[in-house]
Amino acid sequence: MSSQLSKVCPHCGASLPLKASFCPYCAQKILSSQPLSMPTLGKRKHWRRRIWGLASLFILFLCIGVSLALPRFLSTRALPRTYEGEGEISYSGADGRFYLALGTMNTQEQPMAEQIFYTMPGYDGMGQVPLFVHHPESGENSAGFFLHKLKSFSVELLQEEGDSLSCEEPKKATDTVPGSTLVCNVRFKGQAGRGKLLWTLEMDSGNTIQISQNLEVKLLPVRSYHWKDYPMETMEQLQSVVAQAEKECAPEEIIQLHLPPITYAGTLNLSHPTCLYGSQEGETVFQDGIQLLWDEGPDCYFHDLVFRSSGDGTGLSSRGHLHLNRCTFSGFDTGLLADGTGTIYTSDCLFIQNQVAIHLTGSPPKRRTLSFYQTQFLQNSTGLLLEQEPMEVPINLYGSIFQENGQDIQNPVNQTLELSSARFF
Amino acid sequence: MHNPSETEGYREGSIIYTWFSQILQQEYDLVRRMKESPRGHVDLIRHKKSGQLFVLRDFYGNCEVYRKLLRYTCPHLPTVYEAAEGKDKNLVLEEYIQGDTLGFLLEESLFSPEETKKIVAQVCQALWALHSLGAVHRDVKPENIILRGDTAVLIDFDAARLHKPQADSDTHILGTTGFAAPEQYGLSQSGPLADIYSVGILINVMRTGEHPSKKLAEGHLGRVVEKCTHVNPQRRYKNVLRLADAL
Repeated sequence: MSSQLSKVCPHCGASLPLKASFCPYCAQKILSSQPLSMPTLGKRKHWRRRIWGLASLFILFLCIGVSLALPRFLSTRALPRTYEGEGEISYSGADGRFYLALGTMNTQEQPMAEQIFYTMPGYDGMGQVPLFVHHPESGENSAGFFLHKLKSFSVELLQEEGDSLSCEEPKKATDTVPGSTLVCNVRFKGQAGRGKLLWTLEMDSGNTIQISQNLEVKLLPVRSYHWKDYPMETMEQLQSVVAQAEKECAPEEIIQLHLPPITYAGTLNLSHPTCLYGSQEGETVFQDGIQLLWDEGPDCYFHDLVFRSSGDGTGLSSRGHLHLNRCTFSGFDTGLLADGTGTIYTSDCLFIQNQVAIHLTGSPPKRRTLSFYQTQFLQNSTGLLLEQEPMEVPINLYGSIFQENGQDIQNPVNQTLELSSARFF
Repeated sequence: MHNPSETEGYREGSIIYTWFSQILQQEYDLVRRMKESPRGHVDLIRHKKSGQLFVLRDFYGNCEVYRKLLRYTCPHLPTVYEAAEGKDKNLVLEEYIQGDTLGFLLEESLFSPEETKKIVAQVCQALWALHSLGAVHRDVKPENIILRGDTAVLIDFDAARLHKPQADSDTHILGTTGFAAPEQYGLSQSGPLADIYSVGILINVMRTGEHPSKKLAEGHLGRVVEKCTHVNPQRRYKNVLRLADAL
């Protein structure tokens, strides 16, 4: 075993691989571990709560009586204390009783001691760590009452491995995470890393709540094919490279295809999660569109592609999770068809002179956001046709422009939309 | 030519797998084979020098849950000592829990309400630990709960996996018939609520010996069972913490 991959057992001195968690020679654990235990505050039996409730009332009346007679600085309030928890915590102070949980954008109020973000080399990303506050018995959302009792708050990201993680100041974001009290955006670079996001909440009573979530950034394995190394000058050649890539790659790998400045005739079929990169030296054009045939898998990214039809067909059909950046769709019956259970995000894209620019159908996850960011819908018969299972979170059309369309948005499913930053001409 | 290369993590995992496999053969004796299935086998092994017993799992599939548990401990889950991922197979070394399974004990007699509440509360603690790591057990049943004195330990994460909310339906149907929640039969992705369903069945079996569809437990526990096993996952207890509180 190379010295680069070895370490020494602290118990018996045996040589071990770097990532070993256990020494099989002396049968002892190497990796330190943290205990995981359910919170113990505020979740006890009813009879105990009743007795404490009565005792608290008695003490309260006693305190009121004494405090009326004594100067204010002799108040009998308890000394401030700090409450700590990982993922969730029950808080009980003079200013109220709350159950706090840190979740994720997709798991909502399910408390999560740990969250993993997946990324690829070269991609920066953003995730969310929402804080939920409820009444410990009734489960009622207590966000408003809690914020009223909150004196100040801050978050700190403690890097444990690498430096790919950073966080923003928490803010209210009930539009993207319904029911949340505050949400902290976490940004990460395209490299592995690990850290702990620590929230510190100072209450009016002087008590402090510290609740944390462990964060990890994992790199998705990728396999790249560049047009300068593999022949991609015709659709037949391109499809052949795709077939080779799909055969060579492991199930968990993402294929990356870097395409030449070529106009392709014929439909490209992709069966495995793939990212496509159009050329920076000229246009990469698909006249007959692309079909994405996978349902499961990671988010995939298409950059700088032109879908240009002579008058019919579908430019791009997708069933999985897809991000489009700087892509153009023109002349199709349907520019972009999102079918299945995936989600679609567009950024700086243009849909021009299609019958339907974007058609959503299928069953995307109810709490995952769809957004069309700074996307132009120009001279289409219909800009956005929404026929999918309605989602709980609004579709965001931030900065998008609708101009000279027959109908800008058809929404028979009554999907909620965030239109405050969209413009209509 | 751009040559694809393996990720560093994958290469290191293979190194540990190969090395660990070799050292186990040198330093440990096989006591007996505990379980064998198409997915792999589970052995009871003994460290030659110390005599300490361990459970060694050698199986195809996903060992994400075990890798997560390397960094955490819970009194109601077996300690995971090592989880090595090979090219196709995985090796997991975990704590051997000595004691009788709930399944074995139920052959003799049922449990009283107090005993049921105490044991199930501990199972909830184990599930809380798994769920807070983003994992789902998916096979909660009497045969997978061992009583070590007064402590209940939830074992066998073979069916468990990490719950990825953005992923689509699970591709494999696992779990035990009767204890597996309706959504685990391939209709939609199973999540923590599916474990709550299984705990409801567990409570009922501990009290009556029967599935709730045949004979529902009486009293308060019966109401808890009903809420655990509601066909609509959204009508069940929201999480195991609330279930434990209800007990």
